[in-house]
Amino acid sequence: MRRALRDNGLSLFFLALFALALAGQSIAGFFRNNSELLDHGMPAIGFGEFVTSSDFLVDVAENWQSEFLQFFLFIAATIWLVQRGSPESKKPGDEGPGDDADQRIGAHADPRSPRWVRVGGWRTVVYGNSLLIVMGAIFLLSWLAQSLGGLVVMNEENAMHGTAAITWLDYVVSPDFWDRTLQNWQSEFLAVGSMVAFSIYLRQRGSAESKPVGVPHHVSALESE
Amino acid sequence: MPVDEETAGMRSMFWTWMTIIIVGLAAMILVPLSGR
Repeated sequence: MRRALRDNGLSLFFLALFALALAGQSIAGFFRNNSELLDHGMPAIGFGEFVTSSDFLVDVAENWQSEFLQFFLFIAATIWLVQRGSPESKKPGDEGPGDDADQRIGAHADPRSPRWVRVGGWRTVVYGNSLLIVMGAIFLLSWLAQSLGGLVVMNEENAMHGTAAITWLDYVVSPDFWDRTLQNWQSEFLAVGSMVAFSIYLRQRGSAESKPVGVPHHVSALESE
Repeated sequence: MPVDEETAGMRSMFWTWMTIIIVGLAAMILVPLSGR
């Protein structure tokens, strides 16, 4: 049991933080939403009704999509782009998908390689891009969810103000949709870009996200190993 | 157990996160489609 907790501590730590933050968001959002309903002379709703409403879920979705977009772009961009000196990057000259020997595929697979690598063919191609495929799919589906939830919320507000309901196609070109989208994207790109640049010159002793403290500034991730 | 063996814990972490995301996405898509 202690061994399992230690082996999976990083995933479990973030699982606990995720659960706490989502619970906190739902409670704060519940009070904020009821306050707005009362301001408009409408009756308050229950907690269960709130957490199964578009009002709550659109706020969750807009943050999910931007996080998964961030990782999708980071995974894709680090195939072809480098930052000399960053532990988040391959070293200059190593751009590209790598050859079969580096990737341990084809004739270079060994009996302990994942099964879809050993079988070859299209399954090896799919498996070789599976992280990008899954992160991209989650991004697109959560962005779709944001648009659907945002539409319901906007039409509820339109009904409150006596204006006509709009369609999904109207909503995805509306300022509300793009305001929700881009306010999240800008912060993700800021955080990723600054992490890449700061990690050239700054260190955190013991962190997998940092170069070892004494490694020179010009050394990128794979060179330092 | 050697430290380089795959463990049940690794698999359960993968499927725990995958389940959270699939259930979350399903809820976030189906709830607005139901008009709530």
